[in-house]
Amino acid sequence: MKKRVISLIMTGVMGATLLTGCGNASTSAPAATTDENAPAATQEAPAATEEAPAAEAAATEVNISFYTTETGKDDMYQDLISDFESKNPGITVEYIAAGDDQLQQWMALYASNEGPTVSLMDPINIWENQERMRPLSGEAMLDNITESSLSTMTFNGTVYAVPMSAAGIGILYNKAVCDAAVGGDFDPSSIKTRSDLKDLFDKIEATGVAATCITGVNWSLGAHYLCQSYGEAIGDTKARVDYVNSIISGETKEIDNDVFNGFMDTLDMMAQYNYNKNDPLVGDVNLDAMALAEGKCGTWFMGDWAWTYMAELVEPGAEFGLMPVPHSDDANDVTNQYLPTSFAKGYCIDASQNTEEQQLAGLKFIEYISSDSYSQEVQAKRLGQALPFKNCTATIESPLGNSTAGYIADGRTVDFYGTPSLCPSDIWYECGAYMCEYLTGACDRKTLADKIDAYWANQEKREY
Amino acid sequence: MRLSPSFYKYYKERGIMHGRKRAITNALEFSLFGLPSFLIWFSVVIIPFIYGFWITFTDWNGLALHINFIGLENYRHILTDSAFLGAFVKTVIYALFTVILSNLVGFILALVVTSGIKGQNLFRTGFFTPNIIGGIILGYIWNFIFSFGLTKFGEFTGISWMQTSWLTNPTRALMALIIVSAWQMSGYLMVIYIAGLTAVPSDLLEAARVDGATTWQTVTKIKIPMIRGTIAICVFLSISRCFMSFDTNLSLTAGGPYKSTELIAYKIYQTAFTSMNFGEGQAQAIVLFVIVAIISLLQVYFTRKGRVDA
Amino acid sequence: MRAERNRKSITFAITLVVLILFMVPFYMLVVNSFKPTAEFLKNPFALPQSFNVDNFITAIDRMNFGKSLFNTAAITVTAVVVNMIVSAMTGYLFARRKWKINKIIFMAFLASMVAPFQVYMIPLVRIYAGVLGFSNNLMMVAYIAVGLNIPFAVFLYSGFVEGIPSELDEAALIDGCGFTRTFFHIIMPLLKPIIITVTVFVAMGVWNDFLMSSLFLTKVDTKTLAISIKTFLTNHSAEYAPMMAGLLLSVLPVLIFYLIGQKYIIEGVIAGSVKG
Repeated sequence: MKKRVISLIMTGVMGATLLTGCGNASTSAPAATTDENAPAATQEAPAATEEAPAAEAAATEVNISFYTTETGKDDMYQDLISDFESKNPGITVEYIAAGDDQLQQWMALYASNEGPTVSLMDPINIWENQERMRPLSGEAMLDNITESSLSTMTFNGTVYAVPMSAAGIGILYNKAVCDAAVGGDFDPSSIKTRSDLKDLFDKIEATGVAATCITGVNWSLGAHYLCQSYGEAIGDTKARVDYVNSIISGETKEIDNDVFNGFMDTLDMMAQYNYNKNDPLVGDVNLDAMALAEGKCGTWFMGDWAWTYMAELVEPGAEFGLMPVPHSDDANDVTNQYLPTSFAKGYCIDASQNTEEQQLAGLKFIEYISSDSYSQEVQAKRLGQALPFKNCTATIESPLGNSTAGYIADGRTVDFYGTPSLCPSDIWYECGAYMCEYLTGACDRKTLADKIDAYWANQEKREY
Repeated sequence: MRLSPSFYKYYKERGIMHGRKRAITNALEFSLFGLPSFLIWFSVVIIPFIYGFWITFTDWNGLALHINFIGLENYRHILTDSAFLGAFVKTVIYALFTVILSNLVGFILALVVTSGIKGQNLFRTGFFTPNIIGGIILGYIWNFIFSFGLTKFGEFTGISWMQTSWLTNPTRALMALIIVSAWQMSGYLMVIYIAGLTAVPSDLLEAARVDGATTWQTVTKIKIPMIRGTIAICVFLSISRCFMSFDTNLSLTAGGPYKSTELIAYKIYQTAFTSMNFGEGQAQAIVLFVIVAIISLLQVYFTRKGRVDA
Repeated sequence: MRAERNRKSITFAITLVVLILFMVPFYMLVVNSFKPTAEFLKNPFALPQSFNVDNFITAIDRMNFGKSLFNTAAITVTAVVVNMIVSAMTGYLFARRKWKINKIIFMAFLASMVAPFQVYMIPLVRIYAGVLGFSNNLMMVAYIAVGLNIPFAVFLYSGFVEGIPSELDEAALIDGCGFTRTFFHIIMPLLKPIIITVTVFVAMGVWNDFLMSSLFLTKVDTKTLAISIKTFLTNHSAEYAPMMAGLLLSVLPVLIFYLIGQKYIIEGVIAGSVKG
């Protein structure tokens, strides 16, 4: 009897699924796609905007998809999408969230001929696949984007993406702890050199609290800390590209470079005061955020996005901020005092698997994100980072985001990336591993430098 | 081919003993019984494999529209790639320990669970449950245990080497991987061993008992030899599973600390997807496949030979 | 007799300890799914301060649990049933007809079992989703799952059938059953234990499959449980609390099915052994 019941259930489920399977097959027929080999649409934008009013009057249903690699913000984007859809009837946006395997999912979407219309990706990924992307130069909406932020998304003079937000990378500080340490009002701009920083650390330790915290994960040490050494401290964009190319060709070695050694010296110094000293790699963003928020450590090397992890844990009114990582003892070197900022992600439009209508709808979506006041408000609140949109009046609640915005307003920032393609997309994984090894003391500076040299030797020459 | 009298009678009556009619019957039998599975498998495994094989001769990055033919360049690079060879060696070490550990535990558990002690069914169910959970999920749970659970335990008891996370030390991280994989696989192997053990004729066991054999003797002289086939199956399955271990590798260690527990399947995945070097990643997969196929086929061949002799 | 009983008690005690050790991760899973993340991180072994179900509510909502469960079940049931039918038949063929072609195909099956999935991962997606347009189609995922599990199933079935004496086939022959009738009337009933074993393994594999399904099922309403767990994984960390609840919920259906079905597994195995 029981067996018959079970087999009946199974048959029922099978039958139901066959029906849904048929249903799925018909609805999952891919939306009209352009020929994959067709050249990306070029300067049709002006013509399109002229026709826009007429086209809108006769608007048909357009379905586009939006793929985001900014995890943990699903609710924010879904909110924006429904607002966008209500303001743009006729356009439906399908939201595709990434997990922690952003690149693989993107590749799988393209492999199944479902390349997302709008993707929020790292500049390096967009650069590597620019042949698929729609060039955005000349679009009216770009006028609303600050020029300095566009450079990260510009390849060979053409803009391919709209930056999402500005992120500051540096040493976060808990103002209350630092005030107690210096016995007064702590001023981050007083830290101009490595020695200044060490001083501060000693003072914090004297109050019985760990001076700093390093989260020993590959992306923080590899993508962020290490890449500082390819930053403005070396020089302008051209100098940085030349430097990296000289490592690729083997002409120079990292171990001979002052900037590299400078940053590593600072890391060595910070490691001595590391809250996670006993087990440097056990680091977890949640735990370390908790440590900073609760004042168990005075500072933390991270970025302003860490506010997401801290917001729930801090006392109301508690002050936090960011300061740059000094790489030398030269008080006159401004790069010791300027905060590296990056436009870590950008919105791009796919032209290889989306029709012209879809691309135009995608443009509208990006325009909405970058210029609509409601969208800016929501983003300022949820992202807590400075938005590179000129008409933005929304205020940020995150003290970290405000700190970054302060540096930007004062002009005391350096562009973290320089060019979108300076650091390859897997540097966080490969070199991050070497950095982790270095942090635990499992390898020495020379070995680290050699491994990094070997990594670069396998890369192609970088372009401006 | 020796046929018994009934076969002769049956086939002779229907005139399908030899010749064309025989061939047609054979073809029909094959079509009905063998063709469906073969075709499904062929379409799902072989065709993509061939396509993938073609990709190994290109420099495709997995996403680009352009694709260039570069001959054997990928393979040449693999042979000199110390990272790939290192990952392969680590996987061999991992497989060695895991296969031995999981088969031992699985076999012993199967013995215990078929020996007639109280609560057998409960044990049987209990030991199999780890296998129910997928590799990814398992990895996350154990990740937490090794990073924080055991450290709390270490603090409690004061054992010093337990106070740092297992996953931040290359040797202990590999040990953790072995333990978790063995933990998951032993239940799986236990069930197969149970099936094999229950097939051992009970009159043989009865005879042994009457003759006064100890448990040890029963196990080593009767049970183990009788389940040679099962052992072969289990070793084969565990070896191939170990070499393809990915889910747990990803969620437990993600190749860390600093890429020291990057097993070969994980390395392939990283090459193809994170480094966007799809052609080479695919080539690495082919190389791995060839190596493991040889190992497995050799193992099956030798155990089958042993069985025939026995 | 006393010695025997003592020994059995000791064995029982040791096995019980081992079982408890085996179950520790489950304990942690259950216990921590009732805690908010902060409490969880403080002491993972402790019992929860209060049994709040917030995590579960979050998990059900974020994972789109009902639909994901249905999708996973649909794929698993279809794949298991189809796989069982075609593989048992092929297993019978390979065991009873030692033709050259059967041996070659069998070897090919074995060889394909050791190929890492990455070898045909993207090509599979390009062909079936890209060219043929079957992305987000549950039945396509089931079809692929069938194909991927055929070698393993055939391997086990053929091994088992080889253990069934061919005298039975002959007896059927005398009664006038040909190859096909023999299979359906004589052999198949005897395959119960191995069918159950294979079904359990294939079902586990398909239910828990992540990589293959994630390539084809990208839309929210076609995702399976294993894929939807990923919503708790962010770029930099994991939302442990709701994830634990989600994991527990995902494991529960399988656990229940297993607990109900394991009586059949046992009965099947016993029936098999009595026959032996």
